[in-house]
Amino acid sequence: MSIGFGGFLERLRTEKGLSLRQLGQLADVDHAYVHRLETGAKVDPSIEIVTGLIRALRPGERKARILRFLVGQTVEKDLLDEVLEDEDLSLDDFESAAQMRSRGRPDGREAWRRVLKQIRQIREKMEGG
Amino acid sequence: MDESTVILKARTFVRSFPDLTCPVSMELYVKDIDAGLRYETELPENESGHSLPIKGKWHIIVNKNHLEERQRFTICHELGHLYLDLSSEHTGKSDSQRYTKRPKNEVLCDVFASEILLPSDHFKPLVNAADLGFYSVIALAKKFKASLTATGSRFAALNDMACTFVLSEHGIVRYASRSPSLREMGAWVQIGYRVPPSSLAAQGAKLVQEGPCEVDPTEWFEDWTRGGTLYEESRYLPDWDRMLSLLWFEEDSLPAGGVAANEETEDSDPYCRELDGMLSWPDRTKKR
Repeated sequence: MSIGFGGFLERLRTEKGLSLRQLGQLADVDHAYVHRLETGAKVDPSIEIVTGLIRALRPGERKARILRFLVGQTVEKDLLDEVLEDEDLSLDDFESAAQMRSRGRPDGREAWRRVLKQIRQIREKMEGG
Repeated sequence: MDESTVILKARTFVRSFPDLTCPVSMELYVKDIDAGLRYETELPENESGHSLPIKGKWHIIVNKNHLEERQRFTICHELGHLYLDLSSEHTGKSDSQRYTKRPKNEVLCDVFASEILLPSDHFKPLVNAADLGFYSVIALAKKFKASLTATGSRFAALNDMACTFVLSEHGIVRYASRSPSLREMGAWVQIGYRVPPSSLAAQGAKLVQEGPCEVDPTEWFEDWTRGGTLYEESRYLPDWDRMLSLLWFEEDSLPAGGVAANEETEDSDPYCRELDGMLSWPDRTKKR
């Protein structure tokens, strides 16, 4: 199962206990437009809209970066959950994993942990670590 | 992007290496597109490999537990993703070995992989100098360090003789690659149907015969009315309950007549056309 900008936006909004209308008011965005973003009817919000939503949601630096990354693309829910639950995971590594090209996608959290481990090893080697 | 474009791009890529020798060097290819290559022992059996962008550079990860021939095809497949800039289209399955319902980009990267692993400029002359038979496929597979499946498919697609290479799984035909002359004859192997009961392929794991046998072409080819003596040679691959079959007409046993009427029938249905690595330019005369 994959999740995109809209799905993650909805997750952040419900975590904050905000209604569509409340978020729209706080972000100075039409609530119907927020709804279209969440349902995937709109997938390419402007930088200004995204910045306004982040300002209203105050999700923290880590989640804000993930939300920005998800504009125009989706990631596997298992990968997203993994990076949200493990604060030590590098967001650079998450973004690498999200762009992985393969003949079949990793299946489950364990498989994504393995991919993230590979990425970390390669990155550390590149960095001379 | 379509299959013809992929083939052209793959041939352009291969021809950028004027001193290319066979078996082609994976390191040479990978270096050319400035990617990294890593052999990984911790990948599960059903994962062939993948590509990852790390710090601005793509890295190809290959399952080191697989046979070398399969590793080489995987690397070429991943090079296809990178060179053609084709993303993965996920279907929720990890199994890279399926032949049915594969996403288009994955099929296109397989086409690219075949083209650069068994380059037509190097492979085709050897194919047409070889005798028709499975021993030729085996010898070429060794020479190019490619799997029997990949080599057999290209062997038929680039052959001047009338032949086809058929892959069946669990007794069901999954894939067929035909030579141009067999296509012109209108010989059509039905995909998704059980292999003929009288064929060697139908014997599955019980197959012991290694040489060719004569078979009735109407058993293999749909609506075949042209006669001729068809030869079949099959090899069983136990790992996936898969059968590889090479079917051919000898020069002295070719079917009578010109191009069959059913050629037009299959050309009018391009969405069902088999992958055979051959370019298929539009035919203006038919449009009129």
